[in-house]
Amino acid sequence: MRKFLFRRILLLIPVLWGVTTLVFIVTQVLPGDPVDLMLGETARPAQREQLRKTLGLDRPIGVQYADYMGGLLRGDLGNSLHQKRAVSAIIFERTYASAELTLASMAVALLISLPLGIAAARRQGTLLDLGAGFLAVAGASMPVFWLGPLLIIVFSIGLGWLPVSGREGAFSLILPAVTLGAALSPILMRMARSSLLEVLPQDYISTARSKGISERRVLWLHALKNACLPLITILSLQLGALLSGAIITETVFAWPGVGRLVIQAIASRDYPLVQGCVLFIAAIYVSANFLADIAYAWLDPRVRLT
Amino acid sequence: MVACASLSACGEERSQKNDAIVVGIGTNPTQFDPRLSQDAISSKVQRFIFSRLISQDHEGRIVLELAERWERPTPLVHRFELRRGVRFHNGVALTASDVKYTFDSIRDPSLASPKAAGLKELARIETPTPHRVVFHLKKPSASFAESLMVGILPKSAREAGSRFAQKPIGSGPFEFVEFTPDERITLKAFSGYFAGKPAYERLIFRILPEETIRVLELESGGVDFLQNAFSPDILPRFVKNKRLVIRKRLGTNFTYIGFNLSDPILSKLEVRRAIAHAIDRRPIVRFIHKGLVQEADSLLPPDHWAHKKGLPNYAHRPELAMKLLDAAGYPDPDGPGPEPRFTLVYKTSQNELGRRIATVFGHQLARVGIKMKIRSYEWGTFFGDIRNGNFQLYSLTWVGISDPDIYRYIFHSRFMPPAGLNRGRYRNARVDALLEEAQQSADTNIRARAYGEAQRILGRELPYINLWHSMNVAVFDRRISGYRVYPDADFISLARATLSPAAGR
Repeated sequence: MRKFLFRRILLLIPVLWGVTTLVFIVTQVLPGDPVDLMLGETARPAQREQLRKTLGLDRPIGVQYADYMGGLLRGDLGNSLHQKRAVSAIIFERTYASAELTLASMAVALLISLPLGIAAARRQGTLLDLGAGFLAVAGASMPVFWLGPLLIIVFSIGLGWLPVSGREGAFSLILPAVTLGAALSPILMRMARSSLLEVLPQDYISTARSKGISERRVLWLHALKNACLPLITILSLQLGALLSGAIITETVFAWPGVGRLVIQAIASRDYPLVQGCVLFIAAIYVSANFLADIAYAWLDPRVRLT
Repeated sequence: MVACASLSACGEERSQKNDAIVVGIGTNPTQFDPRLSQDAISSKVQRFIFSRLISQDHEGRIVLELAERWERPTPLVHRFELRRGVRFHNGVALTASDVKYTFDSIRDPSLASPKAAGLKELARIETPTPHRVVFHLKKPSASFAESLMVGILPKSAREAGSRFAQKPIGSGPFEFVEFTPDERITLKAFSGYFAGKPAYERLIFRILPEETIRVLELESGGVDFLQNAFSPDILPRFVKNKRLVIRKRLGTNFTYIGFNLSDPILSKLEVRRAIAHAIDRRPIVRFIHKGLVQEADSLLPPDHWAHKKGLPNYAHRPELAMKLLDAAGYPDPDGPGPEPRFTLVYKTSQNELGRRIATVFGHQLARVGIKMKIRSYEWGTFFGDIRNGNFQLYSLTWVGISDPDIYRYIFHSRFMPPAGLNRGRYRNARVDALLEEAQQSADTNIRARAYGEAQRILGRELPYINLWHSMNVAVFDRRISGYRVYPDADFISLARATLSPAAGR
């Protein structure tokens, strides 16, 4: 296990280096110039050159790259060109909002998908199974930019129970979390159902039943534990995607998460901020997969992490 | 339980709302330092925090703000006498040295201020007394007054450096409290404001990027005020809402189609005239803009002092357009068949309204045998292409036109990119001379005559197709009274608005 952890952490270095280098190159070839966007069109060439110098954009690409990588090694992601603040501080501020939304939407997704998936698997072919299948298709077919405003119209405008948008207290979290959770739950539900259907006819389940273990215990302790493995893969991928920004949901609900930050950084050609955000997103994905591997070993003794 | 809790939350919010106006805006301001910003939303928010020497009123007239008296003893000298007793939000008195510091720092290359170009004619600033500031110019500049409309900073901003913008201090009607990016900006009424403390305690700007959400927030009371932050289709919905008030007035925003005059096809005047005659603005004004724009024949709105009456206004005449194209050497190869005379690329941003209008233009040009390909780009890419001359046709809007000297930046041959706004590479020696004459004269009659002739030449030579001037439309809660819509869509009138209690919501 320790060897596995060490190897995976070591593997992070080339992955993150590769991502950083790629993003650095992409930002250099991106059309549009941050100096144009900051100074406007009436600025004189000398003024442009001055700003380019101040921002360090006049240096050769190789020097800029070496400087950026040197900063990274010291844990410095640089300063935002527009906000004139540390990129790490800006990303950190947004991470909290994104984490809040991610955890809440995952909780909603699990609350919807697990009971429905289990019920559908246990009563395969019944009306309940069909109903759950219908709900899954309906949920998967509703884009968040449609479901979000629909929920707002019902619960905020119609009933007046919840705020329309923004991030002000727990109540403002409900609608975005339900919107995202509803989008995530169909795949989780279908996966829970099919995994359970694979696990339930297996010998060890029959053995457990023949030993007189209660059906509830068989289901929750023996069957679900193994059926969870594919769910963990999906959850780990979704965790990465949600933490790095559910851009549409964040925009619809004016939620100040990482997704909106990335979009703004690209629009304003704030290169250090774009690079910092992409590095952060890559780190989140790699870490989520890493955690999924550990969870696999913990849940299934047959999986050996070496 | 949710209902109960939310009701109590609503009650608390309502009591807070009795002393706050919440304005919905679509984007974050990029800057709180008035020397560094150039986007409209930053400028609108800064107006509440910073006072200016002079500013514009609701009719677009120049009025004194921090200045008590403004004298121009010679065309090269502007002398201002400052109001006594003006204080910054930190209690420090505002003096002539703060004014000098503000404008000197804008000219300092190390600050890289986008406003430095406007002060090119400024030679030096003197402060003979703590309440007198004198600007000496290198040569006469009629547009210099507009360059003075910048918020005045305390000279302590020098020590604060880039941190100043994180906690800006001005002498405007509201003090900065906090800015949470992508969430809100909170301002507090300044009790020491020289023109009297605002009638309510807080002014909050909520950043709501999605139009639907801005509209729903206004309807649900989460936002009290929106201005131009919705598409024309939404207005009938607001009209039916008894809780909301709508105010409109013609604004100074001007939308146009720009030609690249170095393009071999578009360099021909007949082609540009043909395109102008092929385009029918009326259905767009009526059905897409719902009458919230007014057809334009010049950059300047018709009530502007320098607007020239009787300018050529290219009526929709597709037959004439086809004749002009034939004369230009572009006959239709297959008559009414599908083969075009030539193909043009029209660039636009990803703004939905702009894309819909581009589609209509495309259909209209197809009727006279011109194929128009629409290319819609993300803003940075689009703007980069326009600046670099990488376009044939494009459409954009000039925001907040007030001084006609903008003609010089847009059409003078000296102002071609990268150091100017002459994106289409227009060149006419007579226009250059007229625009220079107008810029250097202090006599309004001389300026009006020069701009009039320049407008007539430009109307004939068509470096732009003038499309329309937009109406500014403000929709706000009935509790707000005394709000006036400004031509440049400034919100500053909110500082003098009053707010009645939220009872009955």
